[in-house]
Amino acid sequence: MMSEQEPTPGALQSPVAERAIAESVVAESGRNEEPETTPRHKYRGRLFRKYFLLILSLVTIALVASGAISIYFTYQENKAALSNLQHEKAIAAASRIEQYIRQIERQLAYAALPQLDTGDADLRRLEFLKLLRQAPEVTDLAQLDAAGREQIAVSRLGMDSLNSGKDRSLEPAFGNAGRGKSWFGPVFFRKETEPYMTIAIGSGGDKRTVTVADVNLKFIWDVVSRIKIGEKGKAYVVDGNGFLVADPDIGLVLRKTNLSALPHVRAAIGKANPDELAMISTDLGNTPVLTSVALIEPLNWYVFVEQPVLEVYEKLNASIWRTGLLLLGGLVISAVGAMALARGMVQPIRTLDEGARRIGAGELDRRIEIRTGDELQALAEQFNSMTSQLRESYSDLEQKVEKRTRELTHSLAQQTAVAEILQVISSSPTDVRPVLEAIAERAARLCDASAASMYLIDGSTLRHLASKGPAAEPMTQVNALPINRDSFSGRAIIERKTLHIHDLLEEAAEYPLSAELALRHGHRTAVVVPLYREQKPFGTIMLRRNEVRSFTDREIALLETFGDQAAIALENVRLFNETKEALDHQRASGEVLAAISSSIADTAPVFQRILANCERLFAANLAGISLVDVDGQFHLKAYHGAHRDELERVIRSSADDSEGSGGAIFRHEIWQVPDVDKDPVVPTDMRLCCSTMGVKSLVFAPMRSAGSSIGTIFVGRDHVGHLSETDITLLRTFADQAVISIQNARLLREIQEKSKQVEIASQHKMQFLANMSHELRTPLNAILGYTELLFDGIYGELEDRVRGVLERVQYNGKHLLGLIHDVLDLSKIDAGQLTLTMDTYSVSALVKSTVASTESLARGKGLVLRAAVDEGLPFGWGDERRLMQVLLNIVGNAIKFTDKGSVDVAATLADGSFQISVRDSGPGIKEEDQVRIFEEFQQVDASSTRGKGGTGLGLAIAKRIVEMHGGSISVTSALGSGSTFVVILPVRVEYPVQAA
Amino acid sequence: MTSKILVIEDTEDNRRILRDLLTAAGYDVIEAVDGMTGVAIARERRPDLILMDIQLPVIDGYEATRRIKADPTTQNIPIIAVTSYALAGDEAKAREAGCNGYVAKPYSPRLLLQKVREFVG
Repeated sequence: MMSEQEPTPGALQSPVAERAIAESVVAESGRNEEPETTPRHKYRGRLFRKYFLLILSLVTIALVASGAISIYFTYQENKAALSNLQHEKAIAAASRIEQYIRQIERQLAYAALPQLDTGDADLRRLEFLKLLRQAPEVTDLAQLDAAGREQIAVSRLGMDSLNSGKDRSLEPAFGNAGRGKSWFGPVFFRKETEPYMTIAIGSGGDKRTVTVADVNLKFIWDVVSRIKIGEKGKAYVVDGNGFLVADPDIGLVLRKTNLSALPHVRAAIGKANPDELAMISTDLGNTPVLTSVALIEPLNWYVFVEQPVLEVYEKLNASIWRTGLLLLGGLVISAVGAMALARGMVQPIRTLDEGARRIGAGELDRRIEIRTGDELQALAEQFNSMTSQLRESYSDLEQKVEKRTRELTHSLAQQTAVAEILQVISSSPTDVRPVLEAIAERAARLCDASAASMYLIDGSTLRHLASKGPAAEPMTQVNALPINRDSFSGRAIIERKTLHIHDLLEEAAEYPLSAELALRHGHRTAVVVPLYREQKPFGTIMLRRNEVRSFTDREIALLETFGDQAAIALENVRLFNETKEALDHQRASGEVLAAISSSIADTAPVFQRILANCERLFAANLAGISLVDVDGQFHLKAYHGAHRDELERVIRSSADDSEGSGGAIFRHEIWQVPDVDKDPVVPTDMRLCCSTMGVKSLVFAPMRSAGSSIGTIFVGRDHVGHLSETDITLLRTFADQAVISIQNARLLREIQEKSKQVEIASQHKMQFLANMSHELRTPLNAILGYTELLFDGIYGELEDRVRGVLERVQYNGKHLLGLIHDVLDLSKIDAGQLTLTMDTYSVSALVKSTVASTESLARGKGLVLRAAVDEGLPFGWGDERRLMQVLLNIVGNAIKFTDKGSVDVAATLADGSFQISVRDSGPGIKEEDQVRIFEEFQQVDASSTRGKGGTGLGLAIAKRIVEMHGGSISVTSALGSGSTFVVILPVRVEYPVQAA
Repeated sequence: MTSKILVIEDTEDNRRILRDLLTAAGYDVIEAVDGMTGVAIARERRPDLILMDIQLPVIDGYEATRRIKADPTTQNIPIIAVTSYALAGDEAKAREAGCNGYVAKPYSPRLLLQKVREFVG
């Protein structure tokens, strides 16, 4: 492919250099430089290659197709012609042999004419000899009579004989010879060397003689040999059995070669009309041959003509070779043509490409030269005209750019000034002076002014803020200007518009003040721009020139821009200060809140924090908090500042007057004293105190709690003036926070006091309970002890009635003891004194001991007491003794209230808790009583439980104990159908359980 | 030889109950009405068992027990606290003081007698 390509710069160089270029191209494309280089290299030659291949392949296909078709038909025609030729030769050979045989037959027939049968044997013999002379191929000639006996025999080889009478009737020649008809015998060989054939003809005469002749077939060989078929081809004759009769190679004939095995021979034998077209077969030597056949009819022989296929097609191949060479020649020519054609097509496109690339690279002076006279030339012309247009646009553009650059350079200076000012604005958000000075300096410089000044409205005057410029010095001495029509600055404010005065001295009548200043400071021309905030003027910016020269519109516009910027800067400062102030206030308030929450018991840190913030935020040189004590006097609780003692004295004395801090309290309002010296309400001692401390203004904020004032926060400053609204709000917040802190501290004190009292009360209660327990037990011991001793007969035998009464005494004594126990338990629980002794316990053991302790009771009442505990219950964690108390209570109750039937105790595990149920067949509990029974001293109505005993505290205690274990106790029951108490106990309980 | 049991008890009724019970059971009963006297009698009479009330005049039962147990001549005499201090922890306190047994009031005289027999046959 490379060779077909137009040589590229790379192709001309050495492979090493080529690789270097390829690498550099890769590297360049990697860096993304000259991005058009890579595609150009990539696509170069593609169009040429495409066209060349297209044309070449079209021509090649046409040539090859026509050549192939021509070769095919030539081949077919030649083959048919050769076959025909061969066939004709075969037919010619056949007819020649037939003629030859017919001639012999005719001569023989003539010699056998019956007219000669005159009885003169010699005549016949002469005739025969004449025949032998005329026909050299006939070797023997004989005449047989009707009986087959030999009458005359002449031979070239032997002796003639007359009337030998030899019987030859058995020979086939005699048998087959018909009247007037010839018979051709099979081929035979004499002495095994020469082929012979017998011909017999029956004479048509009365004597019915038969003439028999032996014919030497060597003569057929002559015929056959003379037939020339190409160089290697030959003709041969085969008899009806396939034996070779005649062949140019006589040896084959003498060897009695049978050819019936050859395909073409086999195909022909037996067919009456075998002479169709030639066929391809093989000869004896297995050489492929083209062969044709013709039948020699009278003999039933076949003449074959054959020629080696190679020889036959020699010409054909030559013709094919010729055609192939012509084709090749055509291809070469077409390749050359295609190349020329493709180059002709591609060259102008490439020129266009080159031109377009040059235009792209900016070489607009070059023209694209294409003389093809077609669309490509038109395209090139388009390119050229485009280039010239581009050239014109470029030069036009360059002029414009130059002009614009000049303009830009100028405005850049302005922009730079503006940007610099913005930078100054952003770098000094709190201080406006550097900004204003920067603006004045730039304004003076860029507008070519002698001085630039800035004024802000302050009350009713314009206050001078900044002046800059070569002649700015005198302006700084003018501190304030009145806002009136006498100065152009004042008028600009009043009229809200920019004023431009060409010559101040000329306008002296209009602006007397400005003219006076102008005269004093030497300036003549001036321009002033008002500064606006929210559409209201708040200051001016002004330019002055010390000569009479008007400012241009551009300069005035620039000044207005500077004016806007100044407004922005001032607004920024204001916003910043406001935000900062709000933030400061918030932070201060937050700090105080933090102090409140971190020191609930103590107000001092809160007060300190409040005062520190007051000092900082209000620029105060003193701040304090004074509170009204129970004696109605003010006391200074916290103070930041000097001369504390003196201040405290002043404050204390002013408690009940309506002035001073007392005044603030009784007004329940903020009281501001903007100027201590000038306010007549301020008491003299306070004024004196303030002057000692250098305090010029005061603010008092009342601290109010529950509708009355409990104290005041005061702030003193070393300058005259009011506190701002936001500062007042913050001071109020501080006052509220101070109150909260005081209330917090008081509440905490009260709570601590209360809880101490509660604790003491609880201790007293427990002590009382312990004493009660002791004091009750001692007499009870006597009662129960004596009773038992009486029963035991220590004091003698008892009468039955006495014994009965004694039983009641004992019963009631025990009941009283039970009550004491229960009351103590409940009291302990209430006082939080009952502690559980936690240990592992077994539910199974618990149930068993309960049943063991109560079964005598059940048996005594004739009840069935059953227990069913699931196997494999885990150990629990709790106070076994107290749980036992619970179970005993429930089971004891069940037995107590059940008169007949059964009590069933069951324990299972469900959801990680023990579930112990006690079911009885007692009277049941009314629904409204089912909650009450767990309350202290609540038994189901007295009548039904009368005589059942019990303190009425058992279930209440049981409920508390179970709840202390994190469990619950409940009952399901209906009147008349028994009750079921269910205790649910967590297997393990984290003790102490958090109170619900 | 009959065993001697010292009853230190300030309440007349309770002293009598113990006296009647123990005398009927065949023991010699000696009595004291306050702790100090109890200690002195114990030292003097060397009883086989002491039944000690806790709340006693002069010195209480704990102190009396401590003194008896501190005296080598009396320290081997078993002491049963018989007290109305029957709240949780009271038994522990008694045993800490040196008591060998503890019976809370009100007691069953029969059960007390059983307890006594554990110490003196």
